[in-house]
Amino acid sequence: MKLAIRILRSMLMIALMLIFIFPFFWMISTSLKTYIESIQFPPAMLPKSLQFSNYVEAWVRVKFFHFGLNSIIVTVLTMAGQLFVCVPAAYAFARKKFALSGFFFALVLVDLMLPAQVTFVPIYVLLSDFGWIDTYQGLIIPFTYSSFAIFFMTQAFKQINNELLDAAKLDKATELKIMIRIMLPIAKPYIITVMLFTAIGKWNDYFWTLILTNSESVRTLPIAVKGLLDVGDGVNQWNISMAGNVLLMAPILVLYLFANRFIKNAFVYGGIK
Amino acid sequence: MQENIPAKQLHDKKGGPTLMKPGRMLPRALNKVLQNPYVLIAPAVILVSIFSLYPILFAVKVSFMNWDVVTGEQSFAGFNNYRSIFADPDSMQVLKNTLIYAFFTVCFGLIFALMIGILLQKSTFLTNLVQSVIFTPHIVSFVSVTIMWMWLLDPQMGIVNYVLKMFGFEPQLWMMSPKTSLLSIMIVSIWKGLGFSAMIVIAGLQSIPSYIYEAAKLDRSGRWSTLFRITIPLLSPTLFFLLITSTIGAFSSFDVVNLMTGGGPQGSSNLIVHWIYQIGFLKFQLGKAMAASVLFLILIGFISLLNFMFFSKKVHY
Repeated sequence: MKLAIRILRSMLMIALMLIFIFPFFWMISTSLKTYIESIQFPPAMLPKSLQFSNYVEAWVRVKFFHFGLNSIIVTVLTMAGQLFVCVPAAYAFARKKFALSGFFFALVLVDLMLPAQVTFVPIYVLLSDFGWIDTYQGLIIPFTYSSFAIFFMTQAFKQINNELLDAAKLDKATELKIMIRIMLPIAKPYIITVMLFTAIGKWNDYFWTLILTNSESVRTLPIAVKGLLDVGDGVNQWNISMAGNVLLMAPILVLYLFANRFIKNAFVYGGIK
Repeated sequence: MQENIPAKQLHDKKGGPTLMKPGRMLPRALNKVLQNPYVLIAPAVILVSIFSLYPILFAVKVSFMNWDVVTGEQSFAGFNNYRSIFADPDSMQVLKNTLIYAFFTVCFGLIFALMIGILLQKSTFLTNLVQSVIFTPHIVSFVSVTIMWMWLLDPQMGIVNYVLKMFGFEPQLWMMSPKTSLLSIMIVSIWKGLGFSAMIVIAGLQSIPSYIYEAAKLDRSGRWSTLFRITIPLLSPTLFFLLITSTIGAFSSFDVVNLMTGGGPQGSSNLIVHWIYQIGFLKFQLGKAMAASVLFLILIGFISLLNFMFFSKKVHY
């Protein structure tokens, strides 16, 4: 009986793995096939010879350099902006006593509950009044504020014990020194968690880029890779699309391989949003 | 005591020349500024006001206006925008689609997550590996996930239809047919989100103290009665949290619709947010889109309210 349950468990786990690995496997396999091979029946599990030229073609067709650079610019600057906007705010909420602290923190919590999809129409109108449609600042500045980042880092700063700070104050450390020399190093794992969350979210972002841009100039990779599906005369070259898709998700997967635990934690906590 | 004060400090107290050095003025001023909490929260408060609070008020205002995007003409419209939403035959279909989509993705998502969570509860090499694998779709973009699945579900050349035929089932048109388009986007949404929900369930399971299970064992509680009398009740805060967040997530779904079906065929897979997008960005009816946003906000607010009501009486043990 015990053995039967163990076998059943293992079989369930293997089935689960298959359901989740197969689409990725099939993407990679297709990305290395010739076009004819990719649509033949019965489908071959593995390509006869590896067509790395598909990747070159996808790279060229997507204008990978242009859109990839945009993706990097938008992602990195959003992360940097969040450091300047959210870390000080979280520090103040966690460490300072001030009259309107409760009110402003409630504001953060309300925003945390609110999906962005509620306000995208007015935000579009607002940003077009600013002349920010199709600009980097339009894709960056509104997103340097993150309720999740503030909420999460407030919790982190609250955990730092008071004695350390009192000691620093006795030593007449300036506010800037306390923030940089004491607070940041202790909160570092939390900050990395938030930054990973932001980086992945921004790299993957499709919704806002679609809403806030009209032309290729500042658009990012996801929309460009999606464009691989639409070109041609109604015939999808799936092998090329899959190669482009692999290129799009490769940075995320590599990051996931190296920072697996961090990323899982980031998203489990990020689930609050 | 007097002798213990360092010489430098005495010097400072007298207002010696060190204070006047311009190099030290700036850090001191900066220090003063940084000590003020309002300065620290100012950037965040300004941004959240401009990009989150103001847009809501603005949406409410414009929802009562006729706004011609081309001419820029604006006039008061009363409740016309709201009336036109309820009069629009599409709106009822979109609402119906969204309710069906939310119901099935949330229910199946939760049930599967609970099953997988229990399956992967113990931390071993294999379970950790499976966890990492099923979590992968969650951190990959919707663009990537939908491209993968559109290839799998391709009516002519997709491998899913090939497998269906192999086992003697009827091949399906998936995204291309009004009958299965909603089903297709539901499959993809559940597949993408399952790893995340399962991780939350696992975190919840691990927070149940082991002595409760030991007590149950002493009382000779069977496998199933332990599951239904102990595990699930103690997991209820986690499950309710997931219920609320995934319901809000399902109601806000946009990417999967836009990328896989564009809401079609014949509006059969159109959901609320995508419909608002079509009104505002493809038909340029700003007033109506804002009115729809306001109604959507009320819906989300209602769900969030349930959330708060629940968390105030969380299960304690």
